[in-house]
Amino acid sequence: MNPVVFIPIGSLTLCILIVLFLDLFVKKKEILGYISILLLLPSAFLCFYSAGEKKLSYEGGIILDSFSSHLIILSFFILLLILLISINYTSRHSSSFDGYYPLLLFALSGMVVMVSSLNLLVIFLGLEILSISSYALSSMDKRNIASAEAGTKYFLLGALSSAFLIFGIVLILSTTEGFTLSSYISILGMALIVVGFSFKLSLVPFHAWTPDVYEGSPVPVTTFFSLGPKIAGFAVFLRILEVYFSGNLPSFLINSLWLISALSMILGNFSALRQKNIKRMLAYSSIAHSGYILMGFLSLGRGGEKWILFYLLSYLFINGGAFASLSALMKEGKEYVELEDLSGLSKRSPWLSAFLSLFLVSLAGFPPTAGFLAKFYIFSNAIQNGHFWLTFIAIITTLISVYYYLRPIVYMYMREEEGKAEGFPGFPLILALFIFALGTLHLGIFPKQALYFILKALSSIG
Amino acid sequence: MEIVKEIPVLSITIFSPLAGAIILLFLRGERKNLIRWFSLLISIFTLIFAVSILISFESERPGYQFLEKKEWLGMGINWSVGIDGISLPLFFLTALIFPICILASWSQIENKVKEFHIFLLLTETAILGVFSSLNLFLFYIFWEGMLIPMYFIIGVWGSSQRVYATIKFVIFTMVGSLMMLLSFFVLYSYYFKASGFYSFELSDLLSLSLSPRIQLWLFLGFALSFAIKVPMIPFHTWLPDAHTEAPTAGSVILAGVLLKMGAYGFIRFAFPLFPSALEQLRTPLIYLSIGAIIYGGLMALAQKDLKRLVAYSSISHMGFITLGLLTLNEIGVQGALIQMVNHGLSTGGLFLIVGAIYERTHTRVMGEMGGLSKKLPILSAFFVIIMLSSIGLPGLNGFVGEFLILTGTFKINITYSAISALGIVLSAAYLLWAFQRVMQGETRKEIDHGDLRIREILYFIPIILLIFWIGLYPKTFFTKMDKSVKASIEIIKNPEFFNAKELLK
Repeated sequence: MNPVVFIPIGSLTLCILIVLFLDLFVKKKEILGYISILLLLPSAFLCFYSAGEKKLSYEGGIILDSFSSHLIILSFFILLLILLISINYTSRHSSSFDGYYPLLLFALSGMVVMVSSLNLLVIFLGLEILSISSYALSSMDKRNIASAEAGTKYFLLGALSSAFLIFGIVLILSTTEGFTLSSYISILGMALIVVGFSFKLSLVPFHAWTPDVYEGSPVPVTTFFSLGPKIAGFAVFLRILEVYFSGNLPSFLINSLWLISALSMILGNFSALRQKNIKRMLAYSSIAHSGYILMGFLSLGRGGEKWILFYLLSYLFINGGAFASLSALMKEGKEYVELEDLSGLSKRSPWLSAFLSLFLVSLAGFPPTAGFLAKFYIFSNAIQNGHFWLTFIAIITTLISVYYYLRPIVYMYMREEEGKAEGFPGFPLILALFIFALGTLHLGIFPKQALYFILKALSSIG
Repeated sequence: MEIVKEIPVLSITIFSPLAGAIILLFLRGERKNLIRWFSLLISIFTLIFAVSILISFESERPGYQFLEKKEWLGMGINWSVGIDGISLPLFFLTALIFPICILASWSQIENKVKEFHIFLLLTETAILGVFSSLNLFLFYIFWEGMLIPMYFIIGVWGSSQRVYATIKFVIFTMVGSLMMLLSFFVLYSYYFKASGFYSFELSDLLSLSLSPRIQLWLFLGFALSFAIKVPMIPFHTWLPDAHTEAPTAGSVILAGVLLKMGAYGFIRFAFPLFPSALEQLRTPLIYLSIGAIIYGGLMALAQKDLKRLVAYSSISHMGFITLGLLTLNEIGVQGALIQMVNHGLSTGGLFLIVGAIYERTHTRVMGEMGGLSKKLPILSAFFVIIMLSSIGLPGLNGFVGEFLILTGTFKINITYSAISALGIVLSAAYLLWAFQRVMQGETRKEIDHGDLRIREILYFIPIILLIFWIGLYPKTFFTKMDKSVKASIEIIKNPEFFNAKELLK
């Protein structure tokens, strides 16, 4: 036992308590955002320094090895960016955001617990902390009926998926000799875990909640959903598979992941084609991206891990950037994120349009941005491992995605009539946008540092 | 010119437009003339470097020159550029076309001037990169990098149907390039299996010998991408729309250099990498080329819109170029290469003429024009010269290219050559008829302002000069291309005897 393992979660708990207490008194919620940033920064630095090469563990329940510490740093980074976006949003929005900032920090603590454990039950605990704060976050916009709907839907389906997950965990833990392929109980358990994670990661056919929740939630919350739970979820999924199969997936798992991945890419991209609401469109696009990421899992143990993490890292910047640009589109305290609202935006807010275009182009996978390189690595690796047809599907669906990713650009730049949306980027949001854009280009042109970061993170597993 | 050998001159040439675009980003959008002057200077600076490359290019060496190779992403992905006799004329042509485009847009683009020039310069970097990349990954980056700026140029500054045209352009190109990317992946993994290390270097991949069946599939992936870009029929339908809807500068770039990227891709990558597949598909590809020559000519004959007419004539002329490449003999390939430059000059020039006429009459429909030569004598003179170059009048550049291509084709099959020659007759018909309808007869339309201004004459002069130069003394260019063309044909015809590494020394 080493007390250092408790530094991340301990310091975070302290932050939560302070912010929770202040939330009772502070009327202007954006002040809480600044306070949260001020509190998180030292905490993040503490984590950064406590992360070492050594593997520290508390009875296997909480461990701090290079994988978990790198992911903790990443989670802090994501949340800091979300806070920057939220400050801008909550200050413009007409709804009051009581409890918003403490809930965000709760969600972060869930992520931290999740990625820093090898024990399935502790992982489940972390996932639930994250999920329950997410349910509350998605219904944050109290004046918007869609937001309440999103919260309810998310809660009902999320609870269902948790049930799958816990049942799977119980089945696996009940076989005393651990996971063996000969035992049907453990295979069923693993299948249920895959289903549970597919829910959380919005993979087809367990994706149904995604569009409504993404559309109904306030934009910063949607941003968080598309980054935090996804990145932490994929990382934990990766780790579970690594621990149980040590880079050698059984064929039943490969086949089912193949199918889930193909379905997600096809359904996600085709459904996105018809969307008029950009949040909804990006929701379907995030389903498709989950499919692309899942391709990497098919070549686990043969280079897949590296490219999964690279994809997640790129996705952080490009998808986060796209949502962050949307969060600035407001008028009289309401969101305007329909395609029509964007008409002629390039005249009203040239910089915001330029940023949004960059992220959309990168989501579509054009070089020289992170989106291209992420896809390139995953696809190239899949081909080398003999998954030609899956890559073929991926490439065709990428082509389809080009159409809907370019459509907002048509509205912003090529339409004369004036839409309703207006850009109000305050300083925190501009800072966040710059970070996202810098990451998008930097990862696309000079990915060396990012790859080094990933290799260090992976040094403790696989 | 010794200094050219010591500095990374290719990188400087490729990246100076990009650097210019980044600086433009921070200039104020209202200062339109400053932006125009600045972009012009940047593109002329690039042109000066390209000319110095042209002059100091050693024509007696067949291999790549001005080579630069630096590791970039690892796993066989390098910054690796070089120029040989095949890419040299196209590299030069690109650098020449862009200052002309900036001058041509001087008074035509009044809206979002800053963004326009940023996209123009980004396109220039991408196209220069395409013509000098020796690494397939790098080639793909530049190939795709051109797409987004062009998407904006057509979509924002084009005419009424621009959004439709630009999306069609992007989707068509993407279909091709993604299939090419898939082929890249497969080629990459085969190379890894054969040699044990990763490489996207063209020189490494050339040494790979694949079974004919795999070659065929990979070739199809590459060829689809290049055929769409050329465009060969039946993949040509994006071109008339994109050309017609684009602003003048966009059309000139499209016709002048973008289409050549496809033809260049064939001769640089698809043919040498998959010689046995080429053997199997050569005859159908020749049929498609001849089909394009005749079809493009007939369609041009039927057009009412002057710009659309030039667009269809472009399909016809690009048919000649692919036909010349497919002859695989020295005369034919040399003819095709010089014809690429010729087509860039003459069709680019025709689009400039159309742009200048449109600025004065505000119409592109030929029936509404007429009798313009009386009011616009200089424009009319330029039109005559460029038109005759496009038709292939002896003494002008078009004749040299078409004559060589037809001679090369004659060597493999007389019928092919006879049918293709009809294309020249057709081009004489539609262009002369168009000239008659636009410039002669009685005046039907009032014109805004008078004849060509100094600025406009200035950008026609280099085109006219080169038209005469190549027409009267093509040897300047042929000596530079000669050795590389021979070497490339050698690689395609005898892949097993040829060690590609030799070429890079």
